[in-house]
Amino acid sequence: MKFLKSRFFAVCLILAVLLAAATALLAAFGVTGPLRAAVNTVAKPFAYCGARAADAVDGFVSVFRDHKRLTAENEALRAENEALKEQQRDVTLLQEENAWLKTYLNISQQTGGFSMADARVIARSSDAYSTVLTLDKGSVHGVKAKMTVITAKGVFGYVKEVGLDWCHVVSIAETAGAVGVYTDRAGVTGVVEGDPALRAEGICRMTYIESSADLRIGDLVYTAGGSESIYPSGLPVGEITAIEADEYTRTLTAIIQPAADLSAEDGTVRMMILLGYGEES
Amino acid sequence: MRHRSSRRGGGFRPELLKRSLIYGLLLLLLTAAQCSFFTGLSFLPATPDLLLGALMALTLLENRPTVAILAIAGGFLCDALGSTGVSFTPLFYLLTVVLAGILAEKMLPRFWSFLLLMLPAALLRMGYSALRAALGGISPLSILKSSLLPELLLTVLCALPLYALCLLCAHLAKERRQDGIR
Repeated sequence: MKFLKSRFFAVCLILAVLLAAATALLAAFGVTGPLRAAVNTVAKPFAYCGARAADAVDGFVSVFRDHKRLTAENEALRAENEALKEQQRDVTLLQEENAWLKTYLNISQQTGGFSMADARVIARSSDAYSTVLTLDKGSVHGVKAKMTVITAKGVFGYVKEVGLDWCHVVSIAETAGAVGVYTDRAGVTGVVEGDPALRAEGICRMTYIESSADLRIGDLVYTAGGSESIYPSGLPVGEITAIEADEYTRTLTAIIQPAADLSAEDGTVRMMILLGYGEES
Repeated sequence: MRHRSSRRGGGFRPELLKRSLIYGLLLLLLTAAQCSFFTGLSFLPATPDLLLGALMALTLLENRPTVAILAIAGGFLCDALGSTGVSFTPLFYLLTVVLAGILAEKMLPRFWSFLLLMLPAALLRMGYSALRAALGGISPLSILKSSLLPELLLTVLCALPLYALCLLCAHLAKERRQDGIR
């Protein structure tokens, strides 16, 4: 208690109060006192070491402290990732379906609203004389022989034989086929049929063209249709890639590169059977 | 006959310089630890007051004037490094060591005495923090569980090893008394 009454304590008390007042005044003016600045400068290395040490300890502790949280977060993210992958697969399928349906709709509009059966190639057999594709639609789906078969790009061929849930299809490049056609530019008519020499290349020939016909390489060829034809009018058949003149018959012959891939080697090619058109009665 | 080395009053004694350096370094290290190390540990809910623990230990080990000066210096260091604006901590530490000194008059410089001093000092510290929070517009009741009580607990816990450190510093800093010579 003697200390409380001593002059030394009074001086200390006044000093402490003056420190408080001085710092308050300097803070009010936004000024850092020189003593405070000096202290901070001297203490800076110690503060730096303290902060680095704290970072190290904090990092070490956080491994254990955050383990449970991180494990739960990892599981949640894993589940979310799986769900997103599933969604992505669904989206991809939907996109393919959408693209196909757009094509389907487009062709449906082009074919004058005929009902179509969507079919996939399930088998392919080829010999020296013909190539026959087997599709996964048959009589239960309303398919009949001689019905037109098309792809998104154009005419493929027709149904040759029908089973319960399958059918055999031949392309226009096969010798048995013949399609009445016309060109878009000049309206030149002719017949597209298969040629044994050209069949292996997947191309066909357009014949019965008058020698005076206005025909050019690059002309697009479409089905002519008609009551005797199994193909409706206006379906793309292909493009003229070469023109030859037959000096004996005085007619022209054009080589046609079909719009559809007649080899159908790509197993994902989807075909459409025009139900109700060209069917064998 | 008075030995020159034990002459008091007037002149600057090497022992005084030694004590100043030892205690100055102690204060600086503790303040840096308090304001840089412990504040950087995010898993701690509050920062312990290491200076308070050291001052309580020195209250038992040193004389009143020395502890009073250390309290003012430590408070100023703490505010200079750890806060901005007004510096009331020197006044708080001074009053706390004075009160602790009154209690310590009848105590022996032992570890149990230190604990008896530390508990009320930590409670005073909690009151000081609550006052600062209230002046800052924060309700002390709202931070009682999250900040004030953890600070109290950590201050007491971290002060325990400080007693040994201060004992060492006091031993290094004490004047060497020549037998029979003052």
